[in-house]
Amino acid sequence: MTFLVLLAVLLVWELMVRIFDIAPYILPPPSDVLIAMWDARDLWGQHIWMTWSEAMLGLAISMLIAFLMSVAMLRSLQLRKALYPLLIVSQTIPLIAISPIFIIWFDYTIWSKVAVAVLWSFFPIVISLNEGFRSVSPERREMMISLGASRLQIFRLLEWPTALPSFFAGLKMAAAYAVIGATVGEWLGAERGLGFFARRASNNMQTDLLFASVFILCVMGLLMVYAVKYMKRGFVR
Amino acid sequence: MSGEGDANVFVADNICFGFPGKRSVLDQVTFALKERHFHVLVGPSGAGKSTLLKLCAGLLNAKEGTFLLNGSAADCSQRLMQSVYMPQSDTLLPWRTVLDNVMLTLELQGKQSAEEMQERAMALLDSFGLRDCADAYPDQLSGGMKQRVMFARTMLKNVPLLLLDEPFSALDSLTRKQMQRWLLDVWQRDRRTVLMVTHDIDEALLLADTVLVLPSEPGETVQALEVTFARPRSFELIYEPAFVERKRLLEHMLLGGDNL
Repeated sequence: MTFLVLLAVLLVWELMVRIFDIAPYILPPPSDVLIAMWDARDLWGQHIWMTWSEAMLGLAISMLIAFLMSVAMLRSLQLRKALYPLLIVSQTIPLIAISPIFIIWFDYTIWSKVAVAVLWSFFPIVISLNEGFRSVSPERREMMISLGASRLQIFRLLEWPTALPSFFAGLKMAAAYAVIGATVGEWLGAERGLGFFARRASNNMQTDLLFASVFILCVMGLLMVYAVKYMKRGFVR
Repeated sequence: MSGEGDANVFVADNICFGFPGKRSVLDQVTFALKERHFHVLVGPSGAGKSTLLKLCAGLLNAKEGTFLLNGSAADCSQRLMQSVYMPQSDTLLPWRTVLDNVMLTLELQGKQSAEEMQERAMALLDSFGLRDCADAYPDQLSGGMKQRVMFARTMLKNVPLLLLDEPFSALDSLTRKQMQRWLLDVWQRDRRTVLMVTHDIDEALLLADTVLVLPSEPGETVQALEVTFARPRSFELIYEPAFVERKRLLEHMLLGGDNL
C-alpha cells in the first residue's frame, strides 16, 4: 500500500513536470533523476561509504555516551535531578545552528562530521534510555533485592531488560538522525560524502543530481531504521 | 493448635518508622512470630501493613526498635538473608518463561550449574501443578497461575521466614478461594513461618494460626488473636458457629466498638 502511494506520487510528479513544462533545474521529473543517478553510478560508492561511516561512528559514540550517562543517572538521584532538566532543555537548541562549531574544532577531518552526527543522534537515545530505566517497577526491584540480587544482577537481569524496548525505540530515531547529522556536517564542510555531493550539485544547479543524492540518503536512513528494527527482534521478545 | 514448638523465631520489638518529612506510620510496634506458624497481619488501610512487612524483610531500616531472629538482634542484611518477601503486584519478568522466572531465585545465588537449577525449579513447578506451563510466558497465564509461579519463585529461596503481601488481592473471588485452598495445601507440606498481609477477614481466619491486628492509630498495641481450628481445615469452616464467633471478635478488634 505504501509502495503504491509512493508510486502514485512519483507518477503525478512526472506528469505535472511534463504537462506544465517546468524547467529541470527547478524540478526535474523522477525519470530524469533516475537517469542522472545511473549516469553518475561510478561516483556514488565513495560518497555513500563516507556518509555511512560517519553516521555509524556517530551512532556508536552516541550510544556509548548515552549509556554511560543514563546508568550514572540511574544510580544517582541527585545526578538525575541535576542533569535531566538540562537534557530536556538542550533539545530545544537548534542543532543546525551549533553544528558549525564542530567544523571549527575538528576542521575538515571525518571527526567534524562524526561529531555533528553525535550531536543529532545523542538526545533520542539518552532520553529514551532514561525513560526505560525509570519504568522499572519498585516492586520488581524489591523482589530482586529480597531474592538476594546484587546491584549488578539487578542491572543485568531487571533494569537493562526493562529498558531495552524503549532503548530500541530511541535508537531507531537516532539511526535516522545520525544520517541527517552526517549530511549536515558534510554540507558545512567536507570533501566527500552525500551531503558534500548534494551541496555541490545544488551549487551547480544540477537539480537532478541533488534529488538523486537525497533519494540515496532516504534509502540509507530507512535501511538503518530497519536494521535497528531487525536487531531489536534478537533482543526483545 | 497445630504448632509443634511455640518458640518465637522472629520478634519485632518497639519498631518505629516514618517516611522522611511525613508523620510516622508505625510507632512502637511489637509482636512475635512463632516457629512454623501461619500468621496473618490485618489492619485498616493506611495502618502501615506493607511497610511493616518490608521492614521485617530488611528492605527498610527501622527508625527505632529492634528485630530479633532466633533471639539475637538482626539488622537489615541479616533479615534479608533469613527471609523472603513477595510483593503484592505482578513481579514476574515478562521476557522470561515460567521456568526461567522460577529459576531466577537460584540464578541469583549462583551456586549451582544450569542443569541442577533447571532440575530443582522443574521439580517445584511439578509439585505446584505448573509443569505444563513451564515454557509459557507470564502474559499467557491467568491471574491464579501467575500467583502460583510467584509463590514457586519465592519459596525456592530456602529461608525460614516467608513474608507475603496481599498475595490474592488482584484475583476474582472464586480464584481467590481456590488459591487459598492451594496455599493451605502447599504450606502444610512446607511448614515455614509465614507472615501474610490481607484485608480479607475470612481469608485471615481460614489460613492463620495467629491473626495480628495492626492498630489504626500509631502507638497503640498490636493485638493477637489465636485461631485454633484443627488442620487440615475445610472451606465449610466459614459456616460453623465457632468461626462466626471468631470473625465477630476480629471485626470488633478491627473496627472498635463497645457492644461486644
